[in-house]
Amino acid sequence: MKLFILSSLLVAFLTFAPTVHAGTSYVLPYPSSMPGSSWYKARLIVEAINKYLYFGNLSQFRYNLELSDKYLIESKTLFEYNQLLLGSQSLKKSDKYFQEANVSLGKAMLEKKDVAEKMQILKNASAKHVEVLETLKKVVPQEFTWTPEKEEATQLNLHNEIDSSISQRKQSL
Amino acid sequence: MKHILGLYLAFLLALVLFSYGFVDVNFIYLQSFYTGIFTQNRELSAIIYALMVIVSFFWYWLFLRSVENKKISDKLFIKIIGITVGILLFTYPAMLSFDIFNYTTTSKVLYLYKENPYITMPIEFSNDEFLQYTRAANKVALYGPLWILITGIPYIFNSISFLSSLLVMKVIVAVCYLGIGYLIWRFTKNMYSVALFLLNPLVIIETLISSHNDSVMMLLVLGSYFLLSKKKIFYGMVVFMASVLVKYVSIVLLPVILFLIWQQVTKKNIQWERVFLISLVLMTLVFFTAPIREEIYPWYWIWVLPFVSLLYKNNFIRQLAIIFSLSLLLRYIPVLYTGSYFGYTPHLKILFTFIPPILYVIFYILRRRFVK
Repeated sequence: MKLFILSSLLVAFLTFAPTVHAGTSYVLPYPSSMPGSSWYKARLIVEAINKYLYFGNLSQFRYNLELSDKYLIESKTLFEYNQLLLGSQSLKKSDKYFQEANVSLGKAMLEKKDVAEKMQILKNASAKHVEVLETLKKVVPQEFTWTPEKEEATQLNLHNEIDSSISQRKQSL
Repeated sequence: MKHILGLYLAFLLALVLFSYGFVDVNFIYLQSFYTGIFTQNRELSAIIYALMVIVSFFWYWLFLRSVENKKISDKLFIKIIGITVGILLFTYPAMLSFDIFNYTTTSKVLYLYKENPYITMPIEFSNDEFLQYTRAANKVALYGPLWILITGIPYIFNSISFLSSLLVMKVIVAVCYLGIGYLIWRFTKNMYSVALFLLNPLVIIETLISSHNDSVMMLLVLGSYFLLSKKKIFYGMVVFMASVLVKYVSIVLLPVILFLIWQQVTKKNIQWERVFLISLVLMTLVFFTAPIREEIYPWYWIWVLPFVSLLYKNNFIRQLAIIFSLSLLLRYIPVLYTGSYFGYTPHLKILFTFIPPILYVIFYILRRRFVK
């Protein structure tokens, strides 16, 4: 009898115990200056200069991944503030730099450089990006027509864009 | 004098031999020289090192007295320097510090792997053999871009052999060491002041043996002062900026450089002794702030010693600088003895470094007070 009760308790515990999904340990940066801020243009200039200073495929990988992270956080912040068009543009930049990071890593591999650690970093980054993107889907509407004053309206298929970003990241997992 | 020179030559050869006792077991290029004698007999290495330092200061004292009393001709003095440089070029450079391997490793990151050494660390190339003997491979480049460019010259010799590139690195630093001596001569026209720098055991060990790039920086600093003294303002500025691009610390002398430029532009007289004194004070202050970043390394004293030589007439500065040179070299003894940077070693290092100069200062004050 005792054995039966203990076994039942154990099964119940294993069945109903709360599951905790530990988020990936990869850390994204804090939001930097946002579009519209006076520092934003200076930041873009610095990024353009850094593209040449981060020469070499391993350095380029780091540069591209850092910018992908930065623009992802920028898009998240903009979406949260209902700046949907700007958020969409930032998300596209994040996708672009993520793709470049993959390309840099591939080139480094062809140069027979040790990329094992970098591949793990990319994997962790991908998992983190997917986490953030999935929470974004809950924040933004599926579609939206952005209609600024004196300019043409822009149709934003936000969930499609986010899904595309997620599938791009998942290829690196 | 011939016998004395013979003994000095023997001492230099003993120093060369001693250095090879420290060959790293992982340094594949000199594996046939590896004995492990000093890594396995730490007390012995510490004792012999201490004796070497004491003997080197004896030679220093002897040569300085001989130069001062004109018992050594200029020609003979140059011969002594030549012998010192020529023989010590062949010492094992990683006896007390592994910086030379950091220089060659950083140059490889740039010139072989074509990666930015300010972004990519040597440790990211886990398959490369240099990781076996390079310390601090988990740091990005610590020096200025001009120094990294200069290390491209020894890198070219890698195609012959790594040892030849090490030798070329030592030659570059040795040439700068001689260049500083030359510039001191141009300022003072006094061989004693030149000997004060060139024969200082700390300068010899940290430049001709360990090949630190501080002498490269200081050559450019003195070069800029010299050019400014000849009213070549543009070139003086360029050479000064070059010194900063070798090692950033020389930027603290920017106020001095701007002052010199101002004096030349307004055609005012320059009191060079005052300029050298201010430069000495600035570099000494920076020297003592080194523990904020890491610790006081003996080779940092090379930032100060050229100005001590230029102020050779000041007894107190000269003697204190020599005492401090000795105590900085003695600073290596705790690490050699214990083989560790932890435990009692940091405290012993502080005692070795500061007790001799403090004692000297007390002695100086008491002597001035009671002896007239």
